[in-house]
Parts: sequence; structure tokens; C-alpha cells
Amino acid sequence: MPVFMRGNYIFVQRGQKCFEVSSNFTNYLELGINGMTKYYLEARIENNEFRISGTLLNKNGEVLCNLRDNFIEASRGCVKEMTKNGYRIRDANGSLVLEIQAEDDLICHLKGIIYGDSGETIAQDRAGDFVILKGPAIIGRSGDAIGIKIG
Amino acid sequence: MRAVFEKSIEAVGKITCRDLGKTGSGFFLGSQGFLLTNNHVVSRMNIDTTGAIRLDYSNQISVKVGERIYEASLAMDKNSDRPVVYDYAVLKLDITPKAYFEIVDASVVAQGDEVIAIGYPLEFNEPVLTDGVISAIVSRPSHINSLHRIKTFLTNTIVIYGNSGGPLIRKSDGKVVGIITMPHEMRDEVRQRLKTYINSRETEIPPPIRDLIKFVLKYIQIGLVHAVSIEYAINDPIFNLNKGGS
Repeated sequence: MPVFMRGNYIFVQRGQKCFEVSSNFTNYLELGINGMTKYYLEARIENNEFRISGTLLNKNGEVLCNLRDNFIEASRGCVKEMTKNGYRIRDANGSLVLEIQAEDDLICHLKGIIYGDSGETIAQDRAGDFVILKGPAIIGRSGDAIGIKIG
Repeated sequence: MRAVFEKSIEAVGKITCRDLGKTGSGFFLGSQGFLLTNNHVVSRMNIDTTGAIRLDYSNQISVKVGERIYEASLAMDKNSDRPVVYDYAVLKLDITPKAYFEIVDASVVAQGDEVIAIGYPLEFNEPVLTDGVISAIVSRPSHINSLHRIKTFLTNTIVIYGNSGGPLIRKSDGKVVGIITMPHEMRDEVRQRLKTYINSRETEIPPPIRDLIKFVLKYIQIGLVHAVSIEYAINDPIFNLNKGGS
């Protein structure tokens, strides 16, 4: 039976910068395992900046682009559109891959579909929420301490 | 200060983007003809209906250095968003500059350091020098994309339109600290209030007073000035590719 946790603050307090993930607020998100899964996404807060890094795949499990601290380092035709408070990464066909938007410089929202190595959906936005569907994933981190570990 | 100015005069240029109708300042880094300026000096920004930022870069850039005018081209990757976020642009001129700047180690720049700004404000065709101090060193959200923060030097040095892209120079050694970028937000607030005032009472305000307010709106500096730290621009791949030659 599924258990839903909503409105929790994981390693953050109200009024602090955070990511909204699965209706919770956290300082850190990791999807996949760096170097072990082909896909990987890390969202962290460093020097008071929201920083997204990782490797994004398409639904065929092919690498679309590598991100490092919000900047595209390598891509297969992906285009980054900047907005005043975030950015969108679109594939060569113009479809949205990932969108990051900071609300009032405080809450960072993620949109898009994160595909796994075999094209399975790892996480996606649903009705304004960014939902994790498959681990491994980490929500919240403080040093070596982990908030929630999935899978 | 005179020695720094005389050494610098051939290292600072007046930039004109004929197709965009914009002017600004820039300065040489190294001996290979790379001139650094603000991104907003050589581009026009539009925001489309989806909120996406679109940039049109100038294709007709000329730079006046000393008494001569040279054509310039953009040397950095126009598709990269890094120059946009950190508001810098690298131009290339097919000349070997008579003078160029060295870069200060940004980590040793301190509040209170005396600095000078050299640039081509307003309609000046001669370089103008002003001086002041580093008033504060802050990390603030990028004025282009708030996701990123920029190390910024606030200075009380007087700069006006046209100074954008010019160097902020440490007086003690003549090295560049930052790129003059924009006035502090305080000026926008004051400008907005004055504009609202004269627009709402257009007929009540005597013409000389109205003209004076318009003059203030255009020319007078209110508050401090932002200079983006030089460290972002010098990390542009164009400089890494050309290391050893400059």
C-alpha cells in the first residue's frame, strides 16, 4: 500500500532555499547513481545557488545532454532557453526535456520527464508537482546524512 | 593615477554597434586583440511570450581605440549562455594592441581599495576617468538570470551611460578588477518615482523644473555602481584556447 508524505521540510526550514520534490521541500535531490546508472540528475544548493547537474536521456535511453551546474557541457542537439528565473532544455525537436524555475528566488520547481537507461520514466511533473516514480533516489542530504532514500 | 591613466588609454576602446544603435566601452586583455565588454553592450535582449530570453547580437561592431576605428567581431560562442548570465562579451580586433590590461587576483581585492573607471560615457569621443573606492563586495543574483549569483564590486566611482563594459581598475597596480556593468537598483527606484511624478503632474510642473527632472533622469548617478568581477570573463573558453599567446 503506497504511503504519501507531503509538506515535509527535509534538511531545510521554511524561508530557506529549497527544491519542491513530490510535494515536499528539500535541499537536495539525486536521481540515479553517478557513474552507475546511465542517467543521473543532481539538484543541490551551493553558495546560495540552485545547481543542477547530470546526464539526461531520451525515451530510447540515449544521452541527450550533460549538464554541469546549470550549463550544458555536451549535447545532441539540445537547446537551452533561459528565462529570468530559470531555464528550459529542449531536445532537437523542440520538446521539453527539463525545466527549472525558481519562485521568488526561494523555491525551485522542476518540470519534464527524466528517463532511465531503458527508457522507463524515473520522474516527471504531474499537476505542478515533480514526482519520483523509480529509484534509486535521494531526497535531502546534509553531509553524510541522507533524508529519504528510495530504492 | 596619471601614470595608470596614460598606460591605460590605449587599452580602452569606445564600442559602437551600428545596427543596434548602442554604444559602450571595452578594454583589451592580452596582446592578441581580444577586447572585453558587457554582453548587453553588443546585444539586444527580448523576452518572448513563453518567457524565454532571446538575444540578437550586433553584426556591425566598430571600436575606436586612440584616434583609429577598427571593425570587430564576436569571439565567444554566441550560443553559450554563460556570457549572457555573467554579462560579458569577447570581441576580436585584427590588431596588436599597444597596451592591454592584466587581471587582478579577485580574491585579494578588498573593500576600501581605491579604483578608477575609464570609459566613453555619453557622447564623449575621448576616454573619461573617474575614481572612487570598492564600497562593497557582494554576491547578487544575475540581472539576466536570477538562478545564478555573481560576485560584484560596488563602487562609488561615477559612471554614466556608455561606461558599460569599461574596466574598473585597481589604482595601486593598474590591474583590472571588474567590468563596469550597471547602476545599483537604487537608481532605478529613484528614476521610476521621478518618472511617475512628472507623468502624473505633467501640466502642473513648471517647464524648467520638468526639464531639470528629465536631465537628472538621464545623467545624474544616484547610488553605487555594479562592476561584475573579471573572473567570469577570463574563464571563457576563448581565453583557455589562447593561453600562452597573450
